[in-house]
Amino acid sequence: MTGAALGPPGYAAGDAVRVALTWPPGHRRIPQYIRGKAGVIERYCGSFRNPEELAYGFDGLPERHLYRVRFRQAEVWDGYDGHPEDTIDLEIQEHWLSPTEGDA
Amino acid sequence: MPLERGQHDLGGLPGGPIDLEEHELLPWHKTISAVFTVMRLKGEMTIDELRRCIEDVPPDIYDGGYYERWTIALTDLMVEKRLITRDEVDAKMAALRAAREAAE
Amino acid sequence: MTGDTHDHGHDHGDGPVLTYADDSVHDRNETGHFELLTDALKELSIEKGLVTATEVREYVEFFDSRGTEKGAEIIAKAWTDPAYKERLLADGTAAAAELDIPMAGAELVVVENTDDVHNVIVCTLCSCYPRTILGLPPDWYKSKSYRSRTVNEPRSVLKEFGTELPDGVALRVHDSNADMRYLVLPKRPAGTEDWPEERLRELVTRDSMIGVAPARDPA
Repeated sequence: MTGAALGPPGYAAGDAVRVALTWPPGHRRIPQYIRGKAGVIERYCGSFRNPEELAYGFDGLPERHLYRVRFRQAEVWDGYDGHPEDTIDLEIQEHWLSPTEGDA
Repeated sequence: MPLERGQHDLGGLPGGPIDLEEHELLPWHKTISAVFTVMRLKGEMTIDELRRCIEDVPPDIYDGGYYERWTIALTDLMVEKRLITRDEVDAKMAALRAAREAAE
Repeated sequence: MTGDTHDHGHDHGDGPVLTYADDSVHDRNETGHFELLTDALKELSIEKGLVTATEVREYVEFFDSRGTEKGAEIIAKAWTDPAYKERLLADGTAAAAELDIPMAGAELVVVENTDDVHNVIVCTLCSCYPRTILGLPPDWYKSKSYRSRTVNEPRSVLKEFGTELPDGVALRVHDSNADMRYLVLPKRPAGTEDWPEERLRELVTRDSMIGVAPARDPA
């Protein structure tokens, strides 16, 4: 089985994105706390085999584009009381992201 | 309505103070890590499959310690992949226990 | 470079409402059940030709030998060699490879502490850790309390390690949730301007490379 070829990355550093707010069953590497949150692409990490498929013995191909996305802590947590510039970064696969309006 | 989060998905949950005490690793911690690592490098299994099995262990095992849940999950994964049977594990443990008792 | 001690004398009064069962390795093996199961899996794996006894022994020796020395080597070089630091921050995997440090399938991202920014690493979903650089992770890194609280109350977590950030410093948390592994480049301690690289390595603690503490004070 040779899945579809991987196209070019759909996002670049600085792009505003939102993580899907969805709760599919199965092994996922997207923590609950970040689903539905908006952030900015910090960097493109490259493409990697898909853990959502690897976890069940499949080959994880085609690879998926992976990005580090930076979120403002105040956007992620209600009542966050740290520094206003505090951030949290996570790695998010492209299929969990959609473009959003840019003031995240 | 989101599904209940997996037991491994801890980000943002309330928690107590962190136990900062340092512990030496026990020999079996290193042995189980080594057995898994060798099988992973030989292509018998992926870290993603092991993680899925760790996420699925019973809650008392999950809370019972890092290497404890690893060991149970690796057993589950090896059985799932038909590398070993539960009967073989039980028989081997009984034989090892008998040999140890005889040596005491 | 292990055995860091921390000040435990802090106040937990305003924080957590729930205390998890201690999930350290302490006193968890009374019956020997998991040790026996481990030996059974090892022997069955050898009998079935999945692994050899030699391979298992070699990896146990590797885990025994690998501490935080490789991390300290990377950090001290970055402190003394601006060109290396630039390469390290741009492509951690390649910069580690320059020192013959492998990443075993993951990619290394190095994040720099400055006067304005402090970084801290956590893995909320499991316990991802740059093992080829720092060895096996400490128990607290794998604990439920560290994994749960570091993302939403990182400043109080740092306080438990005795690290209080000044008001003007922004805190960047990195949840190591996929294919990257993270290493913090701590600030070079003041008063070490004349120190050679080898001596600087002694100031680079494990905790400073996870981001829960600064590098050791030379004073």
